[in-house]
Amino acid sequence: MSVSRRRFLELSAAASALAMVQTSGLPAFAAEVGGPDKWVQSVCRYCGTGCGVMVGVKKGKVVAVKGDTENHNQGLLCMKSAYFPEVMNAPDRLLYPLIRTNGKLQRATWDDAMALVAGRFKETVEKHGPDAVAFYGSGQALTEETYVANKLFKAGIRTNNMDGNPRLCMASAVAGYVSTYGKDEPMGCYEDIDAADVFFIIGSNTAEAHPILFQRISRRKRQKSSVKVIVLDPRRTETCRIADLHLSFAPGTDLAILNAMANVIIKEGLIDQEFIKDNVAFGEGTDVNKSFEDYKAFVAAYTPEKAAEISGCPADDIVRAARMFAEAHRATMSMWTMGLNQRTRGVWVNNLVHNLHLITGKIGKPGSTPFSLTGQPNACGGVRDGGGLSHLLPYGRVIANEKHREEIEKAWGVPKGTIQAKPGLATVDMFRALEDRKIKAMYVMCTNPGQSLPSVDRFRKAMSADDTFLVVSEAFHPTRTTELADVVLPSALWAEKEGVYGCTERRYQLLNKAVEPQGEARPDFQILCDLARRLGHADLVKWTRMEEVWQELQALSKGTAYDFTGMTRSRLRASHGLLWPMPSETHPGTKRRYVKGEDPLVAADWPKPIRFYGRPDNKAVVWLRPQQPPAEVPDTEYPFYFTTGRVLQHWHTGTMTRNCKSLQASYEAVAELNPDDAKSLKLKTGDQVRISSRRGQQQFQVKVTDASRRGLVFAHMHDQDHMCNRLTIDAVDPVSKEPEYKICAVKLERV
Amino acid sequence: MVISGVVVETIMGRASAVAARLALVNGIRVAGSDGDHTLALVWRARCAEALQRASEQLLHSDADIVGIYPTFVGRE
Repeated sequence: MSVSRRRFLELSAAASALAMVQTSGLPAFAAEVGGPDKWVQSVCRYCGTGCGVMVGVKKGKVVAVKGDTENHNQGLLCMKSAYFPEVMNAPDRLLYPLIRTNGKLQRATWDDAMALVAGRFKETVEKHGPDAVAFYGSGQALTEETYVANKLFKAGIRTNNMDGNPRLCMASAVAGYVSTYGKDEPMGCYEDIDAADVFFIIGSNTAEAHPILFQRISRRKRQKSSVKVIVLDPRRTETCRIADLHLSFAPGTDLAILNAMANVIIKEGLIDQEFIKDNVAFGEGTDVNKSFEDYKAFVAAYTPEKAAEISGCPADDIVRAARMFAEAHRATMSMWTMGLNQRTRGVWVNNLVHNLHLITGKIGKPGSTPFSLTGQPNACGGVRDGGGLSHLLPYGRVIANEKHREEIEKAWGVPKGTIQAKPGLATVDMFRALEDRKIKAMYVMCTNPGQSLPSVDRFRKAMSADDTFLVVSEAFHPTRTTELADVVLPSALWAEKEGVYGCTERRYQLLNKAVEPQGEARPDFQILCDLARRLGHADLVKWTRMEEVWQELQALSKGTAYDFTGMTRSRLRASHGLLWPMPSETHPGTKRRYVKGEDPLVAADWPKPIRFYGRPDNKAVVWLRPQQPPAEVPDTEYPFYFTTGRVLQHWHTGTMTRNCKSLQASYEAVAELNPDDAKSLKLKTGDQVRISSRRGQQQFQVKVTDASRRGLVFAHMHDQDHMCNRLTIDAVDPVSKEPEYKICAVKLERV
Repeated sequence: MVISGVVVETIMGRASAVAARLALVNGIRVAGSDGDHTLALVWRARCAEALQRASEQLLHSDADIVGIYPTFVGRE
């Protein structure tokens, strides 16, 4: 390496960073070093933000990644995605199929592996019926891949036991949107960040879990000095660095705080009466049978003082938050994620955030919107929209609705009655059924339940039992799931295949294939079609090109609230993401749903500015939801709250960051303890502590930090050697069936 | 040797103070600033892992820093 070469690198580094400082839109000409042969447009593989990336390819390998300056992230990337070339070429990439023989996973041919999988699934269905098999998918799979699995299992095998990991992260947000507005998915968009005056961030460590959106919030705050940021989180996370007000509270008590905020807003006359009259209905339980006066009386019980008593959050802070949220002529944008969703009252607490927007009319205007953040890159597009859960069918249809089943049966060319009328099992129930041997064969694709399920040890036993058959399609091995499998199928990863991702803001984007799959790896689309043919369902998978699958999906969306008929493959290829609804090829896409003049599904002659067309009365529902405790609270035996979450440098179960040498520095999950708690337990940073819950125990290194409130212990979820899910509880929300990862009770013992 | 371009975002008005602190860190050169909240750095490190470790440490230890975003990673 010559000095001039080093100089060239330094100039390149300086220029790319300076371009961002001076004008955020200028291109960062990252990694021209080494000279990629070509740059291929794609989308980041990690969180649900859906940042545009350019994949640098040299001699058939991914050698560089840079931000797409023409996409919403304007060329910026977080720490993780910049290192993705290392992950693509990681030493634990699985390059050929494995079959368990004499207790050990051993190399096999594709034909042997697929014959075994098809044979065992066929045999199980014949002996025990279709509900003895199951599919467990992922919000990271491509839309087309989830669709093939959905079609194969629901119409081919004829079981609705087809669920996926979005059940573990977004199900409560889905049920929150559906119960309030009648339809899933946020109505706002990222551009709302640039118009908001108040950010209400609850149950989200945006700075670490969605860093590029955090950067955009931070930028907005800098651009307009009156912009305020409110953060509600039991922990003082990195997100609080830009907060004007941080409300810390005992885990699980935020329903009381949100109701108290509504109470303050009503009492201080900060509601939008006209908006409520035109657009809002009121309900309790599942019935829309209440009035505004009923609601007013309901929240009156939640005085700030009462909420303070329940939550441990100062009453004055609750009042301040309510006033900031509701102040007239200012736009308020809420953001939330797992802190609300992963709860046994996740749907209710989602409803309560929507309530605040609906009573103040801060919705459907630039900068005013309730905006749930998504954890995975295609939980929205592939699974929520595509109907890849056990109670869903594509594009807003549900299993329980006979008309919806008939529509899909007709589209799929299968006889009426093919799709079972009864919804299948949701994730936790599905793995409990595996434990009970009601499910005997399971196909896991693109996810790692052997680490990610709550109360994971009990389900690991079920997955590894001799009399259950577990197939895992995965790009890496070993993972905490592949190590339990009977067959492991090597799947192509990210830039090795083509398909569509749909991110948080209803933005669908095409990932172009940049390189060939490594070793013998195959795209999941190809693997699933092969399985379908071997099971005798070739008629369901007649496609020869991915584009044909997409056309089938477009047709299924036509006439629904998700209509993306105008998103042709070529249009997707030419764009940097398109937002639905988009009912025609000439439509530009929809930034704000339900809004006249923006949403094509609201007629031009609709007499009001907004129409919540997901509900028959065109009104959104404010629900009366009381404070309810979590499934498990501390007691004398287990005196601490335990909570889990993400850190900036890692993602999910670590399969795509742990193997990146550059990201290994902070891989170990440590137990974060408040200094007072540490003192009383005679623990200091670096000590070892055994944490036990009623479900299991795990040893961690201690980190003493005042980020944790007293009585609360935090550990991140990414470490396969220190698995927080040995402790978490598998209690679920009764509506969304999402587990309460965020709260359980533990005890600590110095080791 | 890894040479990286990095954008550092700070709390408003703290860019100069952060720049002064970063200038003392071995391997960091402050290439530019908007004078208020954003810095452009050239950061040299022995390897990518060392660079990553150092940036994590900075992010967590300097309360004026709100975000660190790589724009370029080149290797000698």
